[in-house]
Amino acid sequence: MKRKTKKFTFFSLIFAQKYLFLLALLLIFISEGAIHIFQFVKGAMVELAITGNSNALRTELFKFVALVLIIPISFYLYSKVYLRISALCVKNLRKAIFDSILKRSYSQFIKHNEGRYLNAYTNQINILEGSFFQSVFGFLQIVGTSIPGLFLIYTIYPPLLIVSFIGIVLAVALPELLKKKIVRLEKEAIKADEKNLSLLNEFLNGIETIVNFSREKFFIGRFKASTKQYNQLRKKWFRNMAAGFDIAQLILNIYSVASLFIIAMVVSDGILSIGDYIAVLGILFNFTDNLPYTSYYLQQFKAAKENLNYINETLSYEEETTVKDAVFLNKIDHIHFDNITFSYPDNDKEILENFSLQINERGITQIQGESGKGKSTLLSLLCGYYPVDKGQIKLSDIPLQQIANLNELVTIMRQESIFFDGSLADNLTMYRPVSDEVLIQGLQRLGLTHLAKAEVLHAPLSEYSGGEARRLMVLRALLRQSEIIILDEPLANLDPESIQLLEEVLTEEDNRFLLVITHQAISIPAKLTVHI
Amino acid sequence: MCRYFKRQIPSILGLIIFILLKVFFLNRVSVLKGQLIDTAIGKTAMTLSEVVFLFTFSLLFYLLASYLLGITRYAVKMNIMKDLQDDFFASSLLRDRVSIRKLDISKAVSSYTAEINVVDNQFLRMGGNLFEYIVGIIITLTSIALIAPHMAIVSLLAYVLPIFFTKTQQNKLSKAQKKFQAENDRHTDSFLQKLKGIEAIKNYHIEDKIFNLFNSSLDTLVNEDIKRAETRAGTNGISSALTYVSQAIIAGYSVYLVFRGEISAGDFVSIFALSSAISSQIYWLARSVESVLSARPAVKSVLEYIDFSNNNSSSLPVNQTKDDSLALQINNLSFSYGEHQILNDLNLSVKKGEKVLILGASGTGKSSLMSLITGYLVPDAGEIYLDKTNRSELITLVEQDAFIFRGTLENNILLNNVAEREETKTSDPQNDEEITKLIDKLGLSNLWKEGQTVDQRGRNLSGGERKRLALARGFLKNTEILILDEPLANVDADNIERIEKLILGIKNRTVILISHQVSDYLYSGMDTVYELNSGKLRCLKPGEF
Repeated sequence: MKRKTKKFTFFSLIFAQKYLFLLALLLIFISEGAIHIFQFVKGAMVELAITGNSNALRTELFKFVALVLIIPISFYLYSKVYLRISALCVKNLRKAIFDSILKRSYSQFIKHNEGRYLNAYTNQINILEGSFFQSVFGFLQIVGTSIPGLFLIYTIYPPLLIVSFIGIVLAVALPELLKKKIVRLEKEAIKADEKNLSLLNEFLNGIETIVNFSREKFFIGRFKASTKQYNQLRKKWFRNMAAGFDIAQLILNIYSVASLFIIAMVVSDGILSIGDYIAVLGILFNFTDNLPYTSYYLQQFKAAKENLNYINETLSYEEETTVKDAVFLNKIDHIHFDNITFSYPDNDKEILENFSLQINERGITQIQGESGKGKSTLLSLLCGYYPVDKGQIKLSDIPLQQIANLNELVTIMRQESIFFDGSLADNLTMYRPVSDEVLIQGLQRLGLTHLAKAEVLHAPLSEYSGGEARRLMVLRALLRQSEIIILDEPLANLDPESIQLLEEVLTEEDNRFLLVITHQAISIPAKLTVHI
Repeated sequence: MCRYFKRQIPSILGLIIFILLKVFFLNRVSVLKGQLIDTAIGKTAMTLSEVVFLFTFSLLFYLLASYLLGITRYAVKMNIMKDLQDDFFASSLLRDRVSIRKLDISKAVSSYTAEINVVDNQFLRMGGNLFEYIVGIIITLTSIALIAPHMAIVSLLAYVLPIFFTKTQQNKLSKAQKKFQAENDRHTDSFLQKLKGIEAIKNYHIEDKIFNLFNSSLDTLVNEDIKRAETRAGTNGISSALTYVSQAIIAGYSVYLVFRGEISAGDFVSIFALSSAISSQIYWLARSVESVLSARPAVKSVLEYIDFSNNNSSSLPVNQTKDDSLALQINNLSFSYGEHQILNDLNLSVKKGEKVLILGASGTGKSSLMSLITGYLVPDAGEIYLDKTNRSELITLVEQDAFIFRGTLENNILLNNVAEREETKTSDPQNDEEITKLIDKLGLSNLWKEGQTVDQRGRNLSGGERKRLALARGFLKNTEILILDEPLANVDADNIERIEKLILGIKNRTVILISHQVSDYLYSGMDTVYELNSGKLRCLKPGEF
């Protein structure tokens, strides 16, 4: 089997929005540049106000007003673009997650529990959205302001640039010592988050059972233990993040004092003016204020990588191998389980051992057997969900794995009733075009006359009793004109009258292979009855 | 939200102290930085080592204070989040049974993820900085006031403008957030629904159709998200423009004062520097305010969910039976789903210890009747009398499709009693023996011995095994009344007999069994048999009980 991975990287995410991203860059440079100019204009205005040069003051005032407009407008446009990029990246991730869920085989799907898909789809994307975009754009903003700063330092006193480099490199590099721990904690937090969501989803689905057995207290306790674990991991994680931030701040403060020292010496030697000193003071103030965030953003970026890894892992699955000379089957002559042995992956217990069965005749084949003996497993194997350990399953003498259109040949109805959004008609036809008459006729045949009306068919779903839902699921399966139809306990929980109706309907379907699982208490007019 | 902050009062007090310490030491660091340079070039009376010592000392304390402030603020945020999450879940379980039946699980999950995320990021994280900004602004304003008192008032007025503007946008922000939230609920719902139906989707090969449906739902969501983001960006843009306008007003006023000679050029520079400092603080203050205001619908929605159980109780209070010998009495009970009349003037009395069988075709309302007795549904008319007012202590219901939890078989049967029994040391050998016996009788001992783990929704168990597992739960919970809804569905012949024997062997408990069909053996073993038909009970076999 081939591992199918669509791997997202931060680069590929951003690259998909490259034009918007370039636009965002342009806007942030305009905005940051205007802010720098704004400082100069302010200074000029002060000077002119003092000297009383009203003509020049008017020009400066005009510039001032223009900048007052440009800065917020460019910043507003920048925010708009930035938020759009983030929304579109999230959209791509969500699409990919859902796409990968749909594309993987069912046996691949159940390898993860639902909490994992839910966690990737909701919380991890939310965290990624927050941390990744904050760090990328925050980082850009810092770069946007510090490069002019370094350039100014260079023009004032070149040797200081070396000191600055050492200071900045240390401030960025030393917090890296904490990186390993932060990444590890992030991983653990993701797991804890998944567990918490799994519990929520599962417990809410089982809420009536919990209440029926008055076990609320215990389940609340278990849930609280999981939120507590997450809470503690996150706090620990943040302590490390904050420590990294503080280390950077410490280094930058030392660096700024050292730099001021050097400049002060140079000033007292008369090489530089007091004005230069004040300029450096301003730049350094900006550095100590902003640069600690560099390391913070870098840490956050690395942590965000873990979220992305988690999403990537959720995306990946083993792709089914496509057999070279796969055959398209239109008609099935017989179904043959040829001496098969099977046990579930991760479990040694053999469910089926040297089992053989040949079905030659169309119509109902009843499969009976004690629970746990492998009735449902047998039919999952026929659907191709798992490979058999030994033996072969063949349709018209062609091994299952060589059939290209297996899915179209087999329809399975499980015991659980599943409804999708849309009308009752959508749910019966599974969004295929089927005329209302056919549906109404089908409903009437199954004794669901109160639903057999066009206005009911096209109205949203309502509540159905267990028996009604079961019959709707049978009708859905029958409407799909596949060669093989598998019905898992279609008669359970039905009253004698409905059973009789259903039996009649099933008996009439003698142009297809109907594999019906029933427990031994019920016997139906089958062409073949098999005991497992 | 106040109650959540109240629980964090000690930490919040700590926060205030750390903020003050941080601001104080930051000030010291700035001053000492200047003195350090002055001392180096010999302009002060202090020795260099003294200043270096003071500077290092202040710097370290500043860093310590800011570290403590950071982690305390984060801890407060996380603790509030934890309390919210815990209360969210607890309130789901602790609401009345009618509301539990009506609970929209997908919406709850969506609210738990998306809305709590908004509360976390927008309300608590951005809101957590508010106080620090305010302290910063007050200090800066005080400094301006020391130079020119009326200048401070002008600054204050000018800067209140962006915040005031943000506040006026509250409705717009709320509306955008609400629309997004509604769309997000819908989307998460559809995502969860598709997760559950994945096998059917694959089998019917409707991946493309489902993907398209999903895609259009995602598109709508993203559009709402972008609209919400643009509303926020717009508010932020205008408030930042107003911040700059305020700066311009202050600059203009200062220039005027310099012309009038009321303040010196030096003071002008100082005021300008200070007002620049304020402007970034105000900008962030306005953004935090915007963030908090935008988050309000989410906060409201989460709190409403949590407080639901306090404010709503749609379950009818239980009436106590007047006759001591009766476990249950139902008088003139009527119930309908919309226009569809299910139960019509139904009467039933069940004696303590009696075994009652209620037969009926599917859709006749057997399960509805049980839901009425257990309080998940409210009758249109009529009364239900029970022996005790607390249903949980009185009735155990084994549902037709009992929920199977992920975990061990043991935990599933005892519903996590295992850990509790170990903790409270209530595990007694007799009880253990009873459990083993029951497991054996239900034909589950193989699985029990193997320490079988159960997959999500019991996927690795057969239908019959799931059913027997659920029955084991019901038999082990020793309440006065045991209701079994179709206990024999999906069970194979060998086990049917065993289970029937178990049911008939129950002593000192009232059993109500509902089914569409039972064996003659079970029929004859039950004390009283009714048939439910067109909303009424007809006695098929009067009890000699």
